[in-house]
Amino acid sequence: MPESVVAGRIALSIVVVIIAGTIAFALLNLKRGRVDPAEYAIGGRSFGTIFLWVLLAGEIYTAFTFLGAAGWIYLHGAAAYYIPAYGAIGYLVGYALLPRIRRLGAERGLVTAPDLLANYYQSPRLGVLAAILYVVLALPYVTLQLSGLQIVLSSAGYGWLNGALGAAVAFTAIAMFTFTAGLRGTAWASLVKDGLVLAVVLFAGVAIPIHFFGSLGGMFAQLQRTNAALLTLPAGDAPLGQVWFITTVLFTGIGFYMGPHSIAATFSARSDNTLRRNAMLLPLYSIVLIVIFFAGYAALLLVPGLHGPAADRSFLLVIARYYPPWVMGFVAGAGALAALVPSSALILASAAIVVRNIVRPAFPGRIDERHETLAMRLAVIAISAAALLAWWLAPETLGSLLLVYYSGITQFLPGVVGAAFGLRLRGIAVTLGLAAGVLTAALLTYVLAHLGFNPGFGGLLVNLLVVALVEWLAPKTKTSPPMANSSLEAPTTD
Amino acid sequence: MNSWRLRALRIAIALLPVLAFAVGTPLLNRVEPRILGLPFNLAWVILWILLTPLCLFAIERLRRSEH
Repeated sequence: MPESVVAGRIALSIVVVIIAGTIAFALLNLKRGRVDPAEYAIGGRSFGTIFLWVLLAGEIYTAFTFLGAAGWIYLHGAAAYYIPAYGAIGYLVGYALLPRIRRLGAERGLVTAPDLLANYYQSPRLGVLAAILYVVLALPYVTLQLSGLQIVLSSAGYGWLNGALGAAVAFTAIAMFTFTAGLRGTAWASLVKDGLVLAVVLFAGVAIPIHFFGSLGGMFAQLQRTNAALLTLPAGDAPLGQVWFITTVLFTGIGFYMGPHSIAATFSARSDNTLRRNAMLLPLYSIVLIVIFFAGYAALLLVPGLHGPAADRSFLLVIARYYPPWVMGFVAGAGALAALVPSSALILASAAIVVRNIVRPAFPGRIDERHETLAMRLAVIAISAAALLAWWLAPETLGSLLLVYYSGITQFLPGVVGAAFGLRLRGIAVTLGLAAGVLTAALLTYVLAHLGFNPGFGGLLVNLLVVALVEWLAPKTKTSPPMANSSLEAPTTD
Repeated sequence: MNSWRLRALRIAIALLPVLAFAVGTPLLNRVEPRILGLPFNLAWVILWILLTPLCLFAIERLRRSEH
């Protein structure tokens, strides 16, 4: 048997054991008994600090973070520092925003992000528009994780396994897992994923540089001789330069928690203080990113000459070339979980949205509370299948849709902030602002590609402008949104 | 201290990491002086990853003293 086949079998066996073990561990920890929609989609609003921490960390630090951050360092160097920078700003925004969103959710029985908008602004139309946008934006993000999974599995197979087929099998397993387990199972799986990712990242980012360069300082000294330009940002408004950095960090930071799965995680929190403690603890997880940066820099010196998307494989190539297959097995296992856990959370959030905010309004009275959980489970299967099909049939379309994920998702900010802080905005103003913002961001991304600044910013400006304009022009005889009262401002203790 | 002053102080503390990351990092765009062998800009990012939880902790203390 050729050596690569043996290596591939060793590494892939470890990956399979890790994925299967994680799924089994999560399923064993599930509660028995009837599962209502709120338990299935948002864990019955019961998650404490640690559980929420692993869930949020599980959603935020995806396979894209894992591979993409190293790939960014490899190709663009210091520009990658924008990732921990926007994260920290995201946590600050989350500290102020998420407890208010959770309180609205608990008071009004909200489960999904469009629930929040439709209920607060008393606008079913806004709910449907938000639901469609969320699902359209989230689907490419799921398929991005599928591509990550493919990279990880084909690396672990040492060329022996068809990565696409492996990814499809693993993804099907996680779809069935999500079908069974709901958000509570996803959180348990996150617990395993975070532990393993931490171990692997410390190995890759600390052990590898010390092994090959004596110390981190030694590695950077060598980078300064060979790749000095990468260690700083290009000046001014050059591509990925200083202006790009400032606008992208601010814009992505304020939109950090606008994803449908992030709002679902917010609703899953037991109390406001759970969310505040999380805001304080999550920045520390960014240290993981720094360590991945070290791995990316090490890969740049050890396996130079990769271009474009191939750079995402850079540090897996280092592992494949210099370390035994069992090490690759653990690295790939962690990478696979980092793809599967956020996929599960996103699919679950999208399924809840499809059922509660698209199907239910379309067929009023047809889906009652008892059948809602079942409908969500079926939607999990449908959305997983759609993601897999789209990934197979139209990868280019997905790649370009992904470009607008962050700039699109952040357009929800005015509506969500308005609801959280009890602003008396009209549903029609928020709806038109959202539509105009997403359209503008998409136009700026596709038509005027390669701006020196972040295209989402243009969208958000238009969005806010439209909200302000409609508020100003609309007749003053409006009915105020119900319960937009000061109870939201009331201090809470728990 | 009265309530609006406390609130202003909290917002000021919250703005520190925002400015440090979003504006500080691109302006302190240099490798030298190296800190513990790391490029200066990367060391700056790491410093603020460690300081951000402290800022949030201070904000939380102020919030609790307010209520």
